Amino acid sequence: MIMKNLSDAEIIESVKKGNTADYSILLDRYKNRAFSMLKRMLKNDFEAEEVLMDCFLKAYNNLHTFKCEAKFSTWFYRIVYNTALTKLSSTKRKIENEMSSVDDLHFLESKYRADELVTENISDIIKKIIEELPEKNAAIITMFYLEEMNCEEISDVLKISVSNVKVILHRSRNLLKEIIGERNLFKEVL
Amino acid sequence: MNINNDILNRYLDGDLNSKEIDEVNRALDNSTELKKEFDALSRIHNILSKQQVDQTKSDFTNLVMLKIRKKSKSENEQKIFLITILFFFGVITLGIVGFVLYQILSTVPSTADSTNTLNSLGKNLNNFFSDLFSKNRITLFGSILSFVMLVSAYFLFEFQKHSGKNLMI
Repeated sequence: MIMKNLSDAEIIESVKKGNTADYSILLDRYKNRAFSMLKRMLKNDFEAEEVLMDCFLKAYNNLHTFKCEAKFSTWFYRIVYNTALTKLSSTKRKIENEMSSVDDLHFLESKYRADELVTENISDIIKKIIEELPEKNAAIITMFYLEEMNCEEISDVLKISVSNVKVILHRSRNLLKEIIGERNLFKEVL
Repeated sequence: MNINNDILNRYLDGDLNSKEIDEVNRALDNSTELKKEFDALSRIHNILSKQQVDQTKSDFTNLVMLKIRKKSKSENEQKIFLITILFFFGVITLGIVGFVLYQILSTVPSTADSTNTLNSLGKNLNNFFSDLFSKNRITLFGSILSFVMLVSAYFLFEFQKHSGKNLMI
């Protein structure tokens, strides 16, 4: 119980000293949120879990290179994001990063229309719609809302400018609004 | 100020200054269309804020820790293996050096003075290595060395294969 209250830096120091078991505290702390991000980027539960495992192993193997002046979360999410991109490119499932209009989302047509969603709750509908966004948009939405990271931290993770993060965040919100409008889901969702 | 979608998003994120906020508030009061657009964005923002975190499998932590432990164990085994191989080569080298010295010293006359002893040692050393790497023996020497290296490489390969299997769950 006492260990659970330790900061990330303290846990990392302990792991570096040879207390490998303490790494499980970091695992428990980040696994679900990182899994949510991967699920929305990879759009596949099984692959998301596989990649997440890979990310935790990579982080453990490179823990000696981590400097405690930086935040572990930023460092770890960078590993998660980059590993997800590698996975996407290796499975040739990478789709366009930028989309200027909902017309580009032709692959979304006829999915999850209002009459098909009687039994699903709002949270599931939103999850499915976010999973359909381009991976960068999905990652930013997840980091901003689920991880509660600010735009500066997100820009550190993605290695892009803060203004770019804001542009993508705004565009993602607009895309979600348009998708929901296109599918007549306003009543169900909003 | 032209109140567009970008301004509304910045308003939602709290990125505007007080003067800009006043302008947006006025614009929202005066335009039903703008108010409708802002309400839709605001609802999206609220729903996204209330998203729930997905859960991994219950044994996920155990699986990762198991892999880490197996990897650490495998790394330790690799270290032991390398130390053993190095020790093996060290013993062989020491044996060869010892044998060479023994051969040289056994041929030096015990009554000779220090200058003669040094000269004699040098000559013997030269003769010994000339003999060791002579045409007849170099082939045998090379064959033994190649055999030892092949056996070590085989064991190293088998060990790596075994370590690889250990990491698979």
